Amino acid sequence: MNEEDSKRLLKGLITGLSGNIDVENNKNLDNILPFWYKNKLIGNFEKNDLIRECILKADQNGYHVYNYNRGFVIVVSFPKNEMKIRTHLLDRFFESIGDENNYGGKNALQYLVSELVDNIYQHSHFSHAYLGVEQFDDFFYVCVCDDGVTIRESLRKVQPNIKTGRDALLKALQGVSSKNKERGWGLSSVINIARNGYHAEILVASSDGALWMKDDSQKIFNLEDESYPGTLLEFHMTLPLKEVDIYDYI
Amino acid sequence: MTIFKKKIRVDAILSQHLVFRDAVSDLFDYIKNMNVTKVVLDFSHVKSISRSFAQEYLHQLDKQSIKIKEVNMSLQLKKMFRSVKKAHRKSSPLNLNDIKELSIQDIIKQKND
Repeated sequence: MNEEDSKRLLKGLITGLSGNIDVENNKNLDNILPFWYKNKLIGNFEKNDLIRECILKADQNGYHVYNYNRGFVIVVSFPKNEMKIRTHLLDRFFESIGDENNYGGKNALQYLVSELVDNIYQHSHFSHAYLGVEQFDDFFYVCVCDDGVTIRESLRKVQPNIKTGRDALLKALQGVSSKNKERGWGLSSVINIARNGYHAEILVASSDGALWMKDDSQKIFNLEDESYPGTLLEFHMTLPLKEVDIYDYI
Repeated sequence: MTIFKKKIRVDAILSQHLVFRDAVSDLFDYIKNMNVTKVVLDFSHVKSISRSFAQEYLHQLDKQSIKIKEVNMSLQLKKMFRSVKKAHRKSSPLNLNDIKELSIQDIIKQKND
């Protein structure tokens, strides 16, 4: 990953986590996320610096938690492979999140995070991959992103006729997998839970395709030369989340 | 033939949260290296399981020559395994008839408006 891509990946996480819009420096993501920005009331430059520090510390230690009077930020920086380390990091994350009743009931948040992180290891061959979570009053934000093989490139292995990131996103959400026909449930089931169970605002961006969803609305974007250098999934939710039975959605 | 039987706590080998598809191989490799003919897998301290893990577990379980008995599965774990077993149709969270495509120019214009 070149320096420019690395910066964009970092900006993606920072921007999403902080809700801060620095138009000058985040032009690309500003274009990707126009519908989110107007809804974001929190965030300022000080906070942007804070998130940046959390990410840098997570890069050093694998994990960083910042607690403050109105919420917390957790950033997990995943190793490329080591099973014991990634398992330990996720265990620690689930322990930090604590009372599952705040987040949609037993197993709902675990399911969402687990499937997305496993997907990264199954498909993306990343150099950098992050899980970021922020709670601020009743605002709850989850972001999973990587700089690896995009959904488009992954699906092209089994469907070479896929030309755009848009087409690849649609295929992935219909359950097409780059592995075999029995797989491909992960992403679609997660989006289903987030959209219909959590009523979250959702953004998926991967290469030149991006998809935004909120309740009955959905839009798909062709990002052209503003492509995201990997895959990014973001979920905005409002607490308290009512109990979600994941088995209604998977 | 001598039958050796051993009980294994799954959380001790892997974790209380069964997440990664490739962790299933680690579990079965561990069992194979025990050189026993029967194993009891104790899931009593397992708190959550991903669909990916459950699917891969069932897939690899079919191939094992060692007799494996699972005990102390929570209701949540049982539900996940049942869900994977009965799955026959993938549902899409998208309404494909109502999806609007925008170009980056549309987005910039919308933002400026």
